[in-house]
Amino acid sequence: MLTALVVGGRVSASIAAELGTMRVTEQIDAMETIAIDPVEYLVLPRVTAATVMLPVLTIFSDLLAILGAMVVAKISLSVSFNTFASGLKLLFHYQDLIGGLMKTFVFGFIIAFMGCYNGFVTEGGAEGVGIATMKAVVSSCLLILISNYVLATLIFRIIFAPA
Amino acid sequence: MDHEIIIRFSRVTKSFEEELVLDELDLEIFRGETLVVMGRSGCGKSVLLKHMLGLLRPDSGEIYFRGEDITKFNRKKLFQMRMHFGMLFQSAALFDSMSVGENVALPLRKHTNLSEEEIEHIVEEKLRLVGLVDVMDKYPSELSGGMKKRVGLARAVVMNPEVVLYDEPTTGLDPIMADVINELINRLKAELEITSVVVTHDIKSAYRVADRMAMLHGGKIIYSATPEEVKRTDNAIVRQFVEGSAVGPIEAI
Repeated sequence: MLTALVVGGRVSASIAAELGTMRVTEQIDAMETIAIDPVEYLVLPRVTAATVMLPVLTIFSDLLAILGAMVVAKISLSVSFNTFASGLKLLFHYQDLIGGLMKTFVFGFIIAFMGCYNGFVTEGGAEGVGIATMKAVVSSCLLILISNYVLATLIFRIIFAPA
Repeated sequence: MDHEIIIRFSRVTKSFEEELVLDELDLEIFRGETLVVMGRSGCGKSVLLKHMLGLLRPDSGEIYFRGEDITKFNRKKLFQMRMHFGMLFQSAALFDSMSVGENVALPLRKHTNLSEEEIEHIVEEKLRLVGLVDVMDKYPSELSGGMKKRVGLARAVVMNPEVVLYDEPTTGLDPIMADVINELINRLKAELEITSVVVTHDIKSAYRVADRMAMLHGGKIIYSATPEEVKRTDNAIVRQFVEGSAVGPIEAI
């Protein structure tokens, strides 16, 4: 979820700013005029990419987090790598990993979708682009927090319900 | 010019929130003519153009293109219809993530099965038409305002449309570049036999390109005539507009 929040801030802002600028400079109208569906051409690839890639990014950041924790544990707490690894094995539940990754698909979708949506409905020049960007970041972060709660309940209480 | 009607507006009304922009507007556009729609800034000229393309839908009334009511079209039919149109936007609206060549080629890549060589050939031909060949690999941010408009024009005519819409083609250009654009509008009309609709408040440009001039005021077309007739008109509103006077029936502020 932390990964999603960081990416949410970065990616949905950049999508909203790009599409918002295209909206106010009539580029989206121009696209419609040459009979290209802007949803198909601009929104679909971004949403698909974010939905697929956020889980991949999350795996990376999880690995890095573990690595970082190992180093810190060794240096400041003098926990050896072996002890750390066996502790990791002891506490590792595959449900956590799968459940966590399932959530990130939804987060990825939210990030790109909120960026695209806010970019598309931009109006009012440069100021409008600024407002759209802000709205994209705020709305995607809020939605991530809310959906995290809902999804966590759904996944860990219902799908992977403790026996 | 024959008198076949290609586009017809019938009692078209459109308002944004509380503001009435088009008020039961009637307008006929004939095949092959250049119609200039004049009007003050913000009077709804661009809104009128966007209705022709189906980018905006009227609150009431019908818009006919070749006899078919486009307000009843679904998205797919609208897209098919738009293939017959080209539009030059006020800000040129080039896609700034693509080079000039890619901008002009995009409609061809998307809607035809032509080979890359054929596409390149057409793109070059259209860019030559607007007097720009050596900018093919440049990006829109590297071009001047006049060059952008000319590239926009090349993109607008790349599919050989029947109708080209111009949204303030000369606004923001120096007088010489403005006249280059006027020349181009006339040349495209002669060479490609297209119907042109130009919205502008540049009277000099209007006289240079128009077969017929229409005045949009208060949400309606209040006057339409040939440029010669416009010069002799006794319609007080049109007189005030073409003479650019702050005093008259149009309240300036």
